[in-house]
Amino acid sequence: MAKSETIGRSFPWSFGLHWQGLFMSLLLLVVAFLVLTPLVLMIFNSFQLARPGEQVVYGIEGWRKAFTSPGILGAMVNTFTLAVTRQVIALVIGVLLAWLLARTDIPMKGTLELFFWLSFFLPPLPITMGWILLLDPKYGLLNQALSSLGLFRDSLFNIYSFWGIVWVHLSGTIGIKVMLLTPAFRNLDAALEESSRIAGAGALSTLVRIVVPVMMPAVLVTTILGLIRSLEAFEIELVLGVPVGLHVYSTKIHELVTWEPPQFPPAMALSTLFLLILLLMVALQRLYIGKRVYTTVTGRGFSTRPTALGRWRYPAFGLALVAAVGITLIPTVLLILGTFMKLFGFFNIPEPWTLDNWRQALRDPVLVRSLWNTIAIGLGSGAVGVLFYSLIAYVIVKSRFAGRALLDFLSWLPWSIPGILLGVALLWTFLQTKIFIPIYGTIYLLTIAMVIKSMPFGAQLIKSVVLQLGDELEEASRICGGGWWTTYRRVIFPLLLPALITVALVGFISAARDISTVVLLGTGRSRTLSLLMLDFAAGAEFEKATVVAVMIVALVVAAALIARALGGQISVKG
Amino acid sequence: MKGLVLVMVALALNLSGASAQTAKPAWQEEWEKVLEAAKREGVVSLWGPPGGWARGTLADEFARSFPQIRVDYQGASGSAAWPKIQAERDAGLFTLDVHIGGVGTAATALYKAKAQQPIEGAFILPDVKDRKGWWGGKLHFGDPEGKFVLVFSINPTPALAYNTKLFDPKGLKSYRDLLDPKWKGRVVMVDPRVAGPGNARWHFYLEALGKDFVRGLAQQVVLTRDHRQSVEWIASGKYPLGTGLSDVHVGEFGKKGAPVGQISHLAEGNYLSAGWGTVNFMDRAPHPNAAKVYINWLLSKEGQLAWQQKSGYNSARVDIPKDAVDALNQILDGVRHYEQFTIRAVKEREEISTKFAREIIKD
Repeated sequence: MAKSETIGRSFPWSFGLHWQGLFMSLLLLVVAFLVLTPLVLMIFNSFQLARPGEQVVYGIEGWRKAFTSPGILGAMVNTFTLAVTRQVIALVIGVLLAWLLARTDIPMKGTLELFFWLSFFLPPLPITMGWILLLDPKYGLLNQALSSLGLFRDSLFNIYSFWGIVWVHLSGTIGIKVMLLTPAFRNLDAALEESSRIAGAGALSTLVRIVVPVMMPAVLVTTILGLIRSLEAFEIELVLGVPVGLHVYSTKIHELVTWEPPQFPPAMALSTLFLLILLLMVALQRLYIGKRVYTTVTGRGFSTRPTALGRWRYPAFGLALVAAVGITLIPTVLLILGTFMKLFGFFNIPEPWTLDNWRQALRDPVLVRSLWNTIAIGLGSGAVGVLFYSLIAYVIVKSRFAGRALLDFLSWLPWSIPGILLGVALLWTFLQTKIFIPIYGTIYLLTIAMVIKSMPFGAQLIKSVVLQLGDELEEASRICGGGWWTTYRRVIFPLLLPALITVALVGFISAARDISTVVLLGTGRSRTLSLLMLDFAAGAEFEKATVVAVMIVALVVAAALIARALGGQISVKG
Repeated sequence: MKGLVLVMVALALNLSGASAQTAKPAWQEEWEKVLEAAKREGVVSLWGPPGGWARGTLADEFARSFPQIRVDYQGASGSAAWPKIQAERDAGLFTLDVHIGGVGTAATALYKAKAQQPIEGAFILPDVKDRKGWWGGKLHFGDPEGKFVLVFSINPTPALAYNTKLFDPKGLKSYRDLLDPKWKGRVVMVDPRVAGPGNARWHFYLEALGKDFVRGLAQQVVLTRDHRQSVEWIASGKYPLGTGLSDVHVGEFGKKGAPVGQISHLAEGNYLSAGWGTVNFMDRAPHPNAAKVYINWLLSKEGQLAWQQKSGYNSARVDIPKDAVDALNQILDGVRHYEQFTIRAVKEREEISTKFAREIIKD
């Protein structure tokens, strides 16, 4: 089968070749500006040593301090072992779950998939507190219950540990894997699996030897995305690791950024390591995918008949249900419970339950505006992002544009800057670029910031789905007299829609939950719910912060239900 | 003729009475002019402490008194706010009218960047200008020129927090008792290497008890940078004692029924800090008149009463009732107090204490 041919004529040929080239060049320039400027400013300022208010001075002291600071090597080792461990576990479980949901006949697939989506939405910090409530070695409810049964003398579970960190991360990590892999698995033509079974392979063998290799672009993208995000993770590590001396790379960066004055030069020097890792990952991905063919949706007809599991149907369903409930319902219930506690985690104080947290949060005069800002930024970044990322993905996969490899590489770059530094880098970018000044501090600027931040995820996910689309679909449309727009609207778009909806939804969720990117860009007028949550937490009002966290969860669940309703109706049918 | 003279005298008396009624003091005329201009500006842009309590105190209370002036309030610590303020100013963007926060950022970053203008230039109300109403009969400043960083809140910070079920406060008389081997690994402290309550407490210990004491203390304590976590550990009994903790968090836990108590001071005294209580009039404020109205409101008796009532912190004004101030935030007579809100203290904290902490405490 020929490689998915890059087709100049795939693009609006009615514009003429030079307009195509102009458009794609413009797209490349815009992407380059949006991602390279913050990165260059970050690297440049890693050499700027002056303290606040002093004359500018350049030197390499920041770099020297960064890489000779005590514990940095240990932190790097911890970072990699934690990231690889949880990604491997989550990948195995995620692939299995995605396969069960997309390719088999287990019942309640829609509900289960929703549970896994929900697990990804849950804000990490309150979820961590919830797990501490259960698994603290001294006061965790589960440990106390087990001790009272007399089965164990010492606490069985200790959340403040390497495996505690892995455990808490798994809910979000498995969730995102299921979310990203399931649409891709759905696009697989069942004929491939049927051929395997005819040849005598069982369901699991077909999964391992046929399905996973064909799904490799999606699996690889998901793994790389997951690994990069794991390397940058720090909230859970800050709460569970630092108190027991378990530092990771990002907590070291966080430490530098929260010094007074903030130590940006060494923090930025440290973050350049992420750039090198990203370069390596992207190179590996391109090497693997480069010469292979991954088309699964062709003009020959498309079957999505699920695999019958027979006697394994209900045990498999039970497994999926336990996973879904375990990583979703338990932390959600704990989070909601926490909002009614006078003091989060303290059951033994007089009258531990109260409605005051909800009363005070709901009466806060900035709540309604924060909610409105969040919805506006979420919708804006979801809609604008989808359009932008789909253009990028389409040009990378379907065009002959000379700069498409560069465009592919650039679309990864926002994730080379850790979240805690991306906000600063974007602040510098927007302040140094005059066209942004009129919208500085407004929700429009925050929307642009979120579109930049979510670019790697959005562009790569859509790209992995576009790779699955065979060229004969477009060729058949052209043969029937359809122009580019008709082909895109009636053939390509319906096939991409589930992925586009997923990307728009994740863009919405990112905007609703994000703190680090927007904290320096927002003002009192453009405050979002996540910044309101941060404000409460920083002001020693943690319980009110959990109320706002529940509101954020409710908002994104509502968005997810709407998105699933749309996506569920327009999935590829056999 | 006599009648004409009488009419003229009556007319003259009327006119003099009328001018006496309409003659306003100069401050009032200025105030009305500035207030009108502030209403036309329509907004005042503030940066202050984080939290709903701070917004409620510094923004909502002002808005109640001046509903025609909207408050654009952002809350964050100084170290979080400064990068944004600096980047904006470097780009020629001046968005901030008034900064309210700790002495540290104001007296170092803001002052060095010449980001403030002399605050007394904003004073209009006699209530604000009159120094007799302030602690010590004078205004207190955190900058070397005594013009820019006005301290409006002065509080002692409780020395220690403890679990009421595990510790008897009578068991400690002197800070030196903390060096007793029985306390090794049982006292939690917020990391003194970064700005915050641990750093302030460390500076006090260095000043009052010397280097040997803090060297010994560094071996005894368990450090954390999470303010809430440190108090959770006390409340849950993981550690019976804590020093250099956030009094806001400790106070919250105590109010909600957790078994935590606080000790205001021991034999060697305590320190006074401004906490979040300095006000700075920003240079090139985008809404200068609204900024002046705000500053006058904040420093007036009305504003300072609101500050005390909503925050529980002690105002530096001594001519207002103190019943709303938490008992632990009241300046007690007979206790030796080290002033940590002066520029001398700020410089020493940065150049000596913090540096020393980073030398002797390693990860």
